[in-house]
Amino acid sequence: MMTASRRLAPWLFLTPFLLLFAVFWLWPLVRSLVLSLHHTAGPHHQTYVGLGNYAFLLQDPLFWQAVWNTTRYTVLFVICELVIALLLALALNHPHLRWRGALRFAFFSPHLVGGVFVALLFSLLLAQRFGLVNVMLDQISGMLHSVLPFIPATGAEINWSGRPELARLAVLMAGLWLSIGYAMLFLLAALQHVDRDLYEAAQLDGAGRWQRFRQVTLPALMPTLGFLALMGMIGAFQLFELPYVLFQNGSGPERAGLTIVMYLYQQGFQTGDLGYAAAIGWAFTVMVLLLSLLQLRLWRRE
Amino acid sequence: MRRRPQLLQLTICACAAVWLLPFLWMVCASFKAPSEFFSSTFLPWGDLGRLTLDNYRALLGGFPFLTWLLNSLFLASLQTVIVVLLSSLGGFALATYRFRGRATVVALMLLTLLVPGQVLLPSTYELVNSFGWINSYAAILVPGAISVFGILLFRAAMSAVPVELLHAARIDGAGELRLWWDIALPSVRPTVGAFTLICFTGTWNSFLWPQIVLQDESKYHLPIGMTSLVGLPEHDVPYGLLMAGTLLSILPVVALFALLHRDFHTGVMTGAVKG
Amino acid sequence: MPFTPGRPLLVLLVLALVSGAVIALRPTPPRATLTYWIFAEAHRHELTPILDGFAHERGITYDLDLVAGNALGTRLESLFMSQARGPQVPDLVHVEIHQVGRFFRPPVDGMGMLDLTPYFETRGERRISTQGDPGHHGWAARHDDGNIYVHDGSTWRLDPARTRGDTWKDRIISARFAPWMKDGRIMGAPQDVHPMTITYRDDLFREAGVDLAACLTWPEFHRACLTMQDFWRAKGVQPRHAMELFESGSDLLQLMLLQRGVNLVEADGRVRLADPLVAETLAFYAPLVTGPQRIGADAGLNIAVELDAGTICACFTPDWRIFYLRHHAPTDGAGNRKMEGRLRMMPLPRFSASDAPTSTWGGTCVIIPRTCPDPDLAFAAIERCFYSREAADVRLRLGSMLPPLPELWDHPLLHQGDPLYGGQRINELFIELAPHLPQLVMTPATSLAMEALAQVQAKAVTRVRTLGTDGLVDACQVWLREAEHDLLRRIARLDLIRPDQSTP
Repeated sequence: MMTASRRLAPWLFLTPFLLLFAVFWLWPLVRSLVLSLHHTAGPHHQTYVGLGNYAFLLQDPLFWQAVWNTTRYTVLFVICELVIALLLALALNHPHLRWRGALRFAFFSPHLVGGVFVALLFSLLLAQRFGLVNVMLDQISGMLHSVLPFIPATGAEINWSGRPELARLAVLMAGLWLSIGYAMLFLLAALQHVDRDLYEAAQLDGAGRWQRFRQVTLPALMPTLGFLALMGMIGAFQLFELPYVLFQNGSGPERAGLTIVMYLYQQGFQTGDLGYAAAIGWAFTVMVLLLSLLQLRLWRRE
Repeated sequence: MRRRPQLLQLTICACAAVWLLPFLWMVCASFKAPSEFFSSTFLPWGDLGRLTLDNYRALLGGFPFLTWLLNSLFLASLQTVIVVLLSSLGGFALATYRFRGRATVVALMLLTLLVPGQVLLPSTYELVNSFGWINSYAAILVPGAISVFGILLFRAAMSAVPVELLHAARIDGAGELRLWWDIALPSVRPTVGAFTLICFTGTWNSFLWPQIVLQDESKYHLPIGMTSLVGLPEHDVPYGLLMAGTLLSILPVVALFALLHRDFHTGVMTGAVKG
Repeated sequence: MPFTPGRPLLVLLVLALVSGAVIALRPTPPRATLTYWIFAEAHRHELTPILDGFAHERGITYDLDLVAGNALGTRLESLFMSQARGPQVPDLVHVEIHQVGRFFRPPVDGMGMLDLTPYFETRGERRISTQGDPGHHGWAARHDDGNIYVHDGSTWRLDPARTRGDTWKDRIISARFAPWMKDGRIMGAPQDVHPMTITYRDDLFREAGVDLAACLTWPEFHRACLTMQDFWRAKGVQPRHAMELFESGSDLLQLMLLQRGVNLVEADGRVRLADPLVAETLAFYAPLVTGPQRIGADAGLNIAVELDAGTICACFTPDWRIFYLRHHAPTDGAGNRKMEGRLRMMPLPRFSASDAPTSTWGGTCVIIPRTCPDPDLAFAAIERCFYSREAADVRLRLGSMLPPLPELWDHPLLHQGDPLYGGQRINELFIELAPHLPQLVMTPATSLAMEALAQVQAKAVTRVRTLGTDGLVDACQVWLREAEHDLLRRIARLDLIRPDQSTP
């Protein structure tokens, strides 16, 4: 029997959330669309420009560079993340592996640290003169070079934040170090749920290790991989903190570190044009939505 | 035939060691004076006396690090409590009651997960400015109380609560709120644990929005405070100090994880299955 | 009732309450009367003794905050956007010349800082008490009797036509108002002049048979540096770069352009990115930093260390850099600078005879936010810190920065030999060059133009590294034209310049 309190209960419970949601999510979303049709300079000066911001956006080389940088990063990031995380998960899934808990924690720890602190750490790791990365590369390549002369010695002072290709690589490395452990956890959990019987059945059918992987493991992991790919893509597309902190609040050499969100931040909160920033935000949203739909459809077909 | 996977064990342990090298370097660097950076990679093994606590002293004495730490603790813990309670309440409502409009609400929420939050930045800033909340924690805590992911997470978890238990409690005279507090919440404790960790870490490491709204140095939390030190010339902020600060900044989250790791892994497990 | 969500959440709740209580109950430090944000350590050294005296006299307290450059810009922008009032708003802020653009975008009444023109036009009036008081030809001053007198070269003569003696606007070198003006209004207080010279390790150059100061043109200078580098390379001394030059960032390129009379965006709104002079200068600069004709390397922050070690043997020295060289030069065990006496200074080489022998790099102004509660006090602090003889005294003891008032340039410290430079009177060189300082124009579009130039410079450098210098000028011209086209579109969209933007 439905009492009045029982009928009201769900709405009462949801009210605080719905209220906050309306004020701090729905309203700003709509307002953002309106803002994007204006041109702001300082807190009091707003002029209506219709689709002017969007017209400019379409021809704005900085915006498209940001899109290119972000897309390139996202593709590389998702592929590397999933491949490496899968390898690690498969390794950790081995039934007789010791110290699994500790190893799991080791790979996951950067994710706990968070983007900002990882970027701070990396900015020093990649320091030209004394950074750990350069020192190790120098020693390792030096050793290899003396044994196999065709491997070049890298020299001691690679300028990570000075050359655009290296800068992009630096951001990718930091991003992967940060997130692989997280993806690995999910894959490991999914692996441990795979039905043992399926493996035994495949083995009885004469399937080798690679075929067992393709026929049993991979299909079982598909949902998780799809989920991680989608979340990874959306997350990578929103890249901001890593390049921002790595390049000391700038966009890096030849703007190699300029991402869409960073461009939004620069235009909105450094140049002060909130209207243009809102337009960037909406273009960004449309892109993410399209990419997500595309990815969902692709995955469903697999 | 079950052999101990020696090679695999060795390889994976080596990988883990390399993975952890940055942390080791960070710890070593936090005890080094500026000139030491050029002379030794990790530690000056020959002369450990050259290590110094100066970086820590400078950090705690010369910069408002403790203030930032306190602010981080306050923001992260309060935000987490609010979000967990609100989300579990909402999730409970969506899971337990069949009411008109439920499907719409859920569909709307799923859609919002695909919209990147950054599109809201300029207009939320305007809104928060009009409330006069710029440079106050309300600007962070109030908009941050919304977590669609949280509600959906709790909805999924709480839909497993047996309806009979709820009926029985109702017959015993419990009000609806009691059902949430006494029945549903305890049965999803692992989810609560996992989500607590996620929220806490999220707020602890948050950067973009606090960077925009916090203006007063004494109100900064750790990410903003530490990054504000970047860019000062080397002779004003030695690198070791940055590393000392980073090390201290990540310890509380690690501590919380130690407390919650079992719940977290359980949560990931169930998530992976449901995914 | 047990806390059902579990122990961790309980722990967090307690933590939230405890930390919240501590924060709420923490006594807010009493706000100093005057809060002053700066971004350079050198400023702190100079300002502290002066502000101590000023605060003591007026019975106030002050707070000098060192904030990292980028963070300062972001915080200030945030304050302006939210029009904040209250204890977190500073009274005085140093704004570096490259950050000017972002704050000067809105129209004058929408800008976050106070229009200082009234202060400059009415305060700082020259006073005299007798007609025999010292003065220079053309000065106007108010006599104690209330009338205005003009100096004719030997004595003061009454001038009934004038109503006002020279105020700060007349006494400060007018070229230094230009970067901080918008629509004819002075929005920032100038505090420096920054003429530019080149400092070099004379001993290392001479040993290679090169007298660097004799090079009057840039190509000559380039050849001399190459000779010097070859000499030391043959002797096995590596690395020994002739000069500190930046591969990325167009600061130094712009300084050369300024010598040639080119501002990327002129006062009348003309954009000169695609000017042939720019392409020519860029094509000269790019091979200096990369490729076989390279003479430059980046010193990072350690220019004094590099000069001492001889890894870099010369650098541009605007007057503000002397402080760093003096204070960060490595010393031997007894505290003596190892480079003592080995440095020399020369004016800049030129491209053609009509170029200026100096240029300028950097610059800082002081702004007062519009919401400052006591702007009069803040301006009085500015006067004391930068336009007073006492301030000149402190500044010159520490470094070599010329104050923006030519009348203060007779200070004895400006006419002594500098031991670091082997007794050379470097300040007299600065004073000699100061009148020839090219006019630096800053508009909101300038920072965009600078960035565009930096991007083209990067392309040029890559091209030299891979293809050498053939056809470099033409390639640069093409890139610059593209960059200018994009810049003009941006300027049009943002409505950044109107014709009378920054003429004083």
